[in-house]
Amino acid sequence: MSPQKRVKNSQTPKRTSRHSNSYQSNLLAWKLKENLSNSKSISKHGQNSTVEDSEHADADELARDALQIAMRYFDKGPFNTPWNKDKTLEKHLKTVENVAWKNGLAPEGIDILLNVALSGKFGSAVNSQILRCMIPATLISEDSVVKAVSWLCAGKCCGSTKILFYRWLVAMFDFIDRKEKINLLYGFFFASLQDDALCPYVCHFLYLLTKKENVKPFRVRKLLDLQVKMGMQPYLHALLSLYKFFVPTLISISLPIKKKIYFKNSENLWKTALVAVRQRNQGLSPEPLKLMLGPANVRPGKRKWNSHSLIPVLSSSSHSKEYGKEGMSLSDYLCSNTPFPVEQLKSFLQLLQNIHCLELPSQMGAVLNNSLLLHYINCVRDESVLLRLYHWLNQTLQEECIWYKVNNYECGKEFTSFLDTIIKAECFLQEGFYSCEAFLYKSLPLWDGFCCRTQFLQLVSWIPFTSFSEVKPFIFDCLAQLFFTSTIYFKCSVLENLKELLQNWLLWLSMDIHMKNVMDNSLETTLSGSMKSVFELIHYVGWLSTNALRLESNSTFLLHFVLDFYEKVCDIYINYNLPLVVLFPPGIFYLALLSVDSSILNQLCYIMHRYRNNLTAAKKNELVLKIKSEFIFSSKTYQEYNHYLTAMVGCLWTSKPFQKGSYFDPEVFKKIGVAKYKTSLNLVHHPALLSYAISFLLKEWTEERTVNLSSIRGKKWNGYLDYLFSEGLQGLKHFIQSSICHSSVP
Amino acid sequence: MAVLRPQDQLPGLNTATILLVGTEDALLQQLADSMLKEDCASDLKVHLAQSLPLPSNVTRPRIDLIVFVVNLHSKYSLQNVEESLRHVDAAFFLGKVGFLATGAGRDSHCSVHRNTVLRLAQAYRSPLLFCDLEVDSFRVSMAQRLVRMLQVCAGHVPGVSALNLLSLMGSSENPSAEGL
Amino acid sequence: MSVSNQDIDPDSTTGVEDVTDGKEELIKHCEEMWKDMEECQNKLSLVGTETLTESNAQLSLLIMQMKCLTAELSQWQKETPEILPLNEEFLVSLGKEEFQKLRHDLELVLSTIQSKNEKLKEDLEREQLWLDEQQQVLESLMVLHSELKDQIVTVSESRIFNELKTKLHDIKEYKEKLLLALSEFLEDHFPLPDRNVKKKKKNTQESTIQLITLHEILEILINRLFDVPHDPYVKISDSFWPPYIELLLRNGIALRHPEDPTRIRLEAFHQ
Repeated sequence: MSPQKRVKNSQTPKRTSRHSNSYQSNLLAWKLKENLSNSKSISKHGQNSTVEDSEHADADELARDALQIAMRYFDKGPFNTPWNKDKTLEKHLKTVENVAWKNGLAPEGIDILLNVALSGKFGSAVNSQILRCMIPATLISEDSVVKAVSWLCAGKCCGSTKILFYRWLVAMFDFIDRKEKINLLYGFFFASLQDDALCPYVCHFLYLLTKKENVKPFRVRKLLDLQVKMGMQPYLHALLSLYKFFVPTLISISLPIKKKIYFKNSENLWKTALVAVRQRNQGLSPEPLKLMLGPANVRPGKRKWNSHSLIPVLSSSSHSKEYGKEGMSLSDYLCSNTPFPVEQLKSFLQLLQNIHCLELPSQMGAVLNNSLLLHYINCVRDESVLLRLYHWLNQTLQEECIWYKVNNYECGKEFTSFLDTIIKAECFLQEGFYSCEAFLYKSLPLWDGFCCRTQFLQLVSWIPFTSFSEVKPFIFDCLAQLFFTSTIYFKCSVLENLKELLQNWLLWLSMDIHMKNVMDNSLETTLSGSMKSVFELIHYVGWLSTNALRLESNSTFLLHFVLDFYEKVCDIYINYNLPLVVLFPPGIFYLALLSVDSSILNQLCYIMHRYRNNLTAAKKNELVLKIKSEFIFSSKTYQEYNHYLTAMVGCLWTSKPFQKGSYFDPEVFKKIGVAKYKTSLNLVHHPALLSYAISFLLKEWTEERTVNLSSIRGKKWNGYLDYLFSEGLQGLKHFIQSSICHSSVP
Repeated sequence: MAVLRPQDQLPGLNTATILLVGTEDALLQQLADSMLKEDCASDLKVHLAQSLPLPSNVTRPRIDLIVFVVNLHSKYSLQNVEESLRHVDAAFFLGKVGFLATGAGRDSHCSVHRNTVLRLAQAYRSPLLFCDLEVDSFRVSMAQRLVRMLQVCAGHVPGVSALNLLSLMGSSENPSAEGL
Repeated sequence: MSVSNQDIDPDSTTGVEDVTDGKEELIKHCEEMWKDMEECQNKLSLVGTETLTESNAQLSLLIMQMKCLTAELSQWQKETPEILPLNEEFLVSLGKEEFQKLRHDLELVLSTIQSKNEKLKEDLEREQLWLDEQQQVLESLMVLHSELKDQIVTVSESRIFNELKTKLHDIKEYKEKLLLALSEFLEDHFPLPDRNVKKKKKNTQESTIQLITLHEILEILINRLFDVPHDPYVKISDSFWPPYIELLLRNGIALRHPEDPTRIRLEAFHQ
């Protein structure tokens, strides 16, 4: 078995070097060393030929020469002395390492080095050194990888080198220019799963490589056998779930959908270098697609930010091109539908025309920047798409999270704009991403409450619907800790975003319930479970608000946000058709009732009015449809509401505030010296409405010298009411109309 | 006085004093400067100490809040804090003690695992805050939070006591997210 | 255990106007409170200290916290609100202060609401745009759907028959090509062992057995799989070269019989 033959065959002179203006000269140039390198240095430092530049060019040339010599050594070099004593080998290795870490290696260099590393010419220490420094300048050619894999067949390298090679493949997966040939070797990779040591890394690689066509029944059988042999390992689980998403009919065992992180992060060795490579790639490749439709999140003026974008450039993973000498490919015979290459998708019209034959790019992350593809994803029912997106997001967020960045706190802006893009995508698809949830679990305990604040809180508002008590210790307790020690503006932002979260959950729940129209026993339990979760969320926010108001000394600003939240809560039953009515805690009610601000009072009246509507509708439905829900029909809810209602009407209308059982002790009033407290609080005397009363009196009866508030009664009372309504206190109007029936004025 | 007591003196009028204990002098100094820059209705005083017990010959005002600063990059700072904890009266732990861990961002340099400090904070039923004090913006926001905590502990926020704040901040057990 | 009363905070009213009468009254009030505090302080200083170690900290702290919280709770329940002396100047200045704070808050609320409105407008426009685009997508999908439906031509037997015949022919051609390529490949890379190299050691009867090529082994396996699907096992005969058998088994191309190690079958790649 001599693979050498194959190596020679595929080393065609026609090399696709697209980056002809790369820093290092290519193989052919070695023959014409002087001319080409000279012309290159001139073209590079073309305009000004100062002394400095020529010196710089000389140093460059020296470096390049050293590299060329090193490469030639590795390619054909004389191996006189045994390798572990060879000084020239060390010297050349050093050269290669330096160049690699600084600028990356050209595809041809990688080709040669891969051959050397995997062919077993040197020992495993040297091989691992070589593999660790194989960082591409821009791309890795597919043929080099194929050659390298063929060396694996020859079995010339040891186990640890193989493992390192697979890790390298996973890390550099995005930079391999085409992957059709590699995909054809799928069977070989699959067979390597038998090796226990290699299994996790091969699984990770296969996870990236697998396409729908690769999922075959015999492979599923093999994986299941492996699972029986080795137990449920996370990497096997990952590959099985991917198979299941592609062809669900083949796998009958149930795989719990976990949002786990399946694979250990193999990229650690090359992490920093990868960032540099991505940046280089962005610089060279053409500008990402201008979005003609959709939100304008790419503004041409701000291109600088996008040049370090974390989101990869769009490239299609086109399949079924002709290859080899005989030009046979099965898909030519059977398939008539060639997929539309995704890079050419530039207008909405094109999307519409080709919507049935689009193929998604191999790098799912590229979808985030492209609104057209987001439209496509929205329509496609294939769950594997979302799964791939989550996987990509998981990887990226793990590495790029600012709290884990080793030394680079300056990337704040880039990270912020990346988060913005994710949030926009979530908003468009109306889906919460599980990867973002996992990201929050990891980073919220370490968050300081300031960095990327808006984005972080928006991510919180897009948490997918889950059981609240599960998520509470990870997210909401940390949030509470931050909340109570922060400024009032932070508190308000948090409340706002929790309102958004509630809204999203309610929308998802109501859509779900629409779809499942059958009311059988199983649904009842999940329905009550979901309602419990929402109830707990509302309860949590109530707790936050009450204590926040204490800490902020009843600030009107904060109270405004709190009441906004409850405005959403009060209408759950009617707006979303969910059997849930939750009242606000007394701490908020009494504060709002006795506040000095009329808009708060107005809002409170409106909320009470809506609660009344919801409660009466629920009661009616219960009688009609005989559905009971513990969240509405405990008598406690009705009692509480009635209690509030009484207090409110007493304060505003009947001048009989603070009956027995209220929170106020009459002794207090004696101290204040308000003797007739029992009849002195109503719409006229309420501190929030005092100014209205006075201006009413002044308006109507300007000639009077003294203003006597108690003169507002009888006909004046109605006039006063109309005046209030005309000043914009619509909530008050609704409340009075619905809850107070008055035939005559007290 | 060997042991620090929370109520050993009458409070100064409109004054709130915080004591920062930790081995990282430069960081503590910077944190103190940021805190003093915050505008706050009360008069702030910041005391810095390497370790407890404090020298007894200096007169100092009543201390309202002690924050123990642990640098996750050095085991020595953790030891120092553990030693100092023995010189604090038990009554302090009713909301007037907090732990601050710095350096969590640079994972590779951490010689003390986060969970160690977490367990320490849970053992003493006190809140643990994370912040990388070397970075300007993080430090400023942490200073803001400390000032607010201090105001509550000094009693300058009517209706909320230090113990109250402590129970709000929660003794969430905070299981590690890796188990998910 | 010390029970701490931490709620008695110094009265820090600011903004007291310069009215001597009222001021004196307030100062008197403050002095009284200060005397109360000094009394409490004296009591407190009599209480002993206690330090904790990490091991006993949690339990004792929990107990202490519980006691303190209960004490605080009962204190709150007993407490009645303290009223400031009701001097008109105080009330006016306090009222002014409160209204100024209110005004400041309301200004903040106003700007918040304005920015919320703007955001809502933007959101509305964006959602409207997305909705329109979705409608267009839906329409084009419906059009596509109806087009495809129209393309369902009425079933014509002969047409289907011809289509199938061409397909069959193409596939057969492809199969021939594949088999040819396979045999070439196997010949090149997996030849029979060279019969001319004789071992210098003792001669066993190996040279008398006729070995067949790997291609033929595979043919036997394939044919068996398709001829007798319910028992695709083939007995290993001596004409199979053992290293090649090992090769096939190790790479998962052939499988052993679960009970009988002398029989192998081809892996069912097609199902």
